[in-house]
Amino acid sequence: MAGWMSLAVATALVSGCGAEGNGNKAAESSAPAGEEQQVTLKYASWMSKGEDKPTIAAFMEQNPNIKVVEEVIDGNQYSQLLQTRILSDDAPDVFLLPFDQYTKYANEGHLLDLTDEPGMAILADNPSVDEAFKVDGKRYGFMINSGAPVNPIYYNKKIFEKYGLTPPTNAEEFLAVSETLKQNGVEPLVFGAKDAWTLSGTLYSAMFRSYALPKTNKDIYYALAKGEVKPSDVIDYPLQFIGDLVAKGYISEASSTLTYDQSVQYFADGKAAMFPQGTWVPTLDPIVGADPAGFELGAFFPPIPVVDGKKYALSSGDRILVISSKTKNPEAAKALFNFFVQPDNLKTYLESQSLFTVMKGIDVQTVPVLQEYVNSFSSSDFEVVIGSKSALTPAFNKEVDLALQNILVGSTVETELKRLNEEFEKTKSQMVIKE
Amino acid sequence: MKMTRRTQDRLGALLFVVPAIVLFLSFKYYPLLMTLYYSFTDWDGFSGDYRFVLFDNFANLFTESKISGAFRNTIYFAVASIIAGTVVQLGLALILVNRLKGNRLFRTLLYTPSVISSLIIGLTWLSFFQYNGIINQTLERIGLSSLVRNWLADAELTMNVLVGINVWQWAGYGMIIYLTGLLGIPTEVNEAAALDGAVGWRRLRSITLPLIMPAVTVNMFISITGALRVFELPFVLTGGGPMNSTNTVTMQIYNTAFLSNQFGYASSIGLTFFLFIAAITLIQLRVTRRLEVEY
Repeated sequence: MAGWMSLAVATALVSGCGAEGNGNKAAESSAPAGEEQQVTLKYASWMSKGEDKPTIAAFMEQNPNIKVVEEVIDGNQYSQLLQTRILSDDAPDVFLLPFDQYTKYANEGHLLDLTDEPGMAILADNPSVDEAFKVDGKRYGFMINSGAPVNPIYYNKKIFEKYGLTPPTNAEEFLAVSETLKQNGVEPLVFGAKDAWTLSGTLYSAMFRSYALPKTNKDIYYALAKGEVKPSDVIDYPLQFIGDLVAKGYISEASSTLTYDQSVQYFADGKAAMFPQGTWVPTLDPIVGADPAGFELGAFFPPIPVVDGKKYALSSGDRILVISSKTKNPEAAKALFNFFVQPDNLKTYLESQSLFTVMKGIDVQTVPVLQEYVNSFSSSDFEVVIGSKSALTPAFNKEVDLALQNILVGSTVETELKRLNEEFEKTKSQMVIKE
Repeated sequence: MKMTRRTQDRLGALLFVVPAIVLFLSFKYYPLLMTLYYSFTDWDGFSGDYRFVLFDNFANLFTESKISGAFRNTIYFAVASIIAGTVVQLGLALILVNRLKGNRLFRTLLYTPSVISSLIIGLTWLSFFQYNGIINQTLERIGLSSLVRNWLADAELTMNVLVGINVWQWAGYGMIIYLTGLLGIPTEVNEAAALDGAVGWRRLRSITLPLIMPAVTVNMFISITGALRVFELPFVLTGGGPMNSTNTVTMQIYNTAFLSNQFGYASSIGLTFFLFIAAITLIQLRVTRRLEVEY
């Protein structure tokens, strides 16, 4: 009943907005007499460039009786659309989940208990990851990739060479490099800020985490949920840093309306010298196919704050593989899950996309351009914290996105901090806390 | 008991109507009633637990600046779209009512955008209005760099861009309605007006406009309801930004329900907005119908 009621209200609200529903077929299974049972699974993710296809294809080849139908849901609306699907009892059988919804869905009973699955064995070597993903002692998902604890800043070596610049190693050098580029008529930085995650998930998050972790006993979200700190106590520095970059004209004006894909092309075309982004960038087509006369990819570690001689970072998982508790084909879904997280398959998956993992037991080779950046993580002055006892709500994450977008188009840091404090209070009660 | 032929006919007719009624009740009235029900709760749209909060949601929406801002933005969009749209639509209709060469082609071309999804329209215009988009590139190429703007990231400008796109999209649709009204004016009325010396603006004001008021009534009704419910254009082009300057009520409902997980609150905003649109359109219908004349 609750599902029907939810669907009805969702329909009413969305029909007012003029949006259209997302038609799909239910998972089917049929067993023709005398034949092995054929099963169809729905697999959903936000991987719009076919990142999961090779793994899915290899699985289907090995399991000819299981057909996997892939559904790609727009990354910008993934959380909302997935929630609507789950509310209407139409969840995909197997799907990727962002970390901020993992505990909530597990608590609400929407995820299948995978505690004893063979694929989880690797967690024995990774107790900190295991602990971060346990909910009431049970495991409901596997962290496919950790998301880089600190995303790199890419730069165009050709432009740097032209102006005699070297990759900066701290904030002062970073600002000096940006100033030199600007003085020479080169746009220092570009973001694809129409897709807000490109702002909040790169330079900002690196600055934020390194600044806020030591202020919050290394668990920012728990401290926020408990009311030990306000957003403005931990967001002020990173927002101010971004605000200064905007005020000094170091961020390309095009950034505010560029999408993520367009920003990659913009950088590859040599229109901006630096590009804060994820570790997957070296494998992207525009980068691989860029004109070598004007473009050569380099990467450096972003200028995150140093607190008491130490740099901090957080890894909470980027793509978390889960199974719906409502799946009609749990065995087939588990087979796909275990295949996906099998170390050899996972290694291939991660390396093909230049993704980062903090899991021991998966020896991922780094692309050469990121080698120096990756080495930074093993230095003694660097500490990576795994997971958190809480997570920000999608609503507040959206507000942070908005704050950054607003600062990019001229809003003041003070205004945005005040707004963020107010908005945080509205949804703070929805934060799930694992004690 | 033998049924009369008339009863049989009625039952037959009813059978044909029942599926439509069932669908209509299921997908229109049931959700509407559930929206009403949830608007008095604090349901998060997810869990089975919720409390009845009576009128708290309605009280909150009148004090929250984000909601009042969304109402302001929506009203601005609607008023600007209707004023500019009426001028453009009526102007086009007055031009194309004459027997010009290529008349039908122009009508078809102008009407085409209205049958294209607003999402597609939004995505298409995005490539024009981005900072490095077609418009700015063209301005730079023809030496008008001073006119280059960040069309979709300027809080003072962006809503007007959306208004412009909306006016463009619906220009042909409204034009057809006005054209129908203009073609319905008897020739002898226009001839008599011409003989009496009523030409140009005077003829438009005193003869044409009063006689096409039924078309104005219909067009206004469609324009007001359409403009107030705008969602796709800001959703695709701006996401409600910059600085919430294009955040409309429908976007606010969507964000409140699906981002903030406040379904109960979103329902109350939706219901209030429904009443707001109903009130505005009722006023509009009364006003424009009074201006209609018999001939």
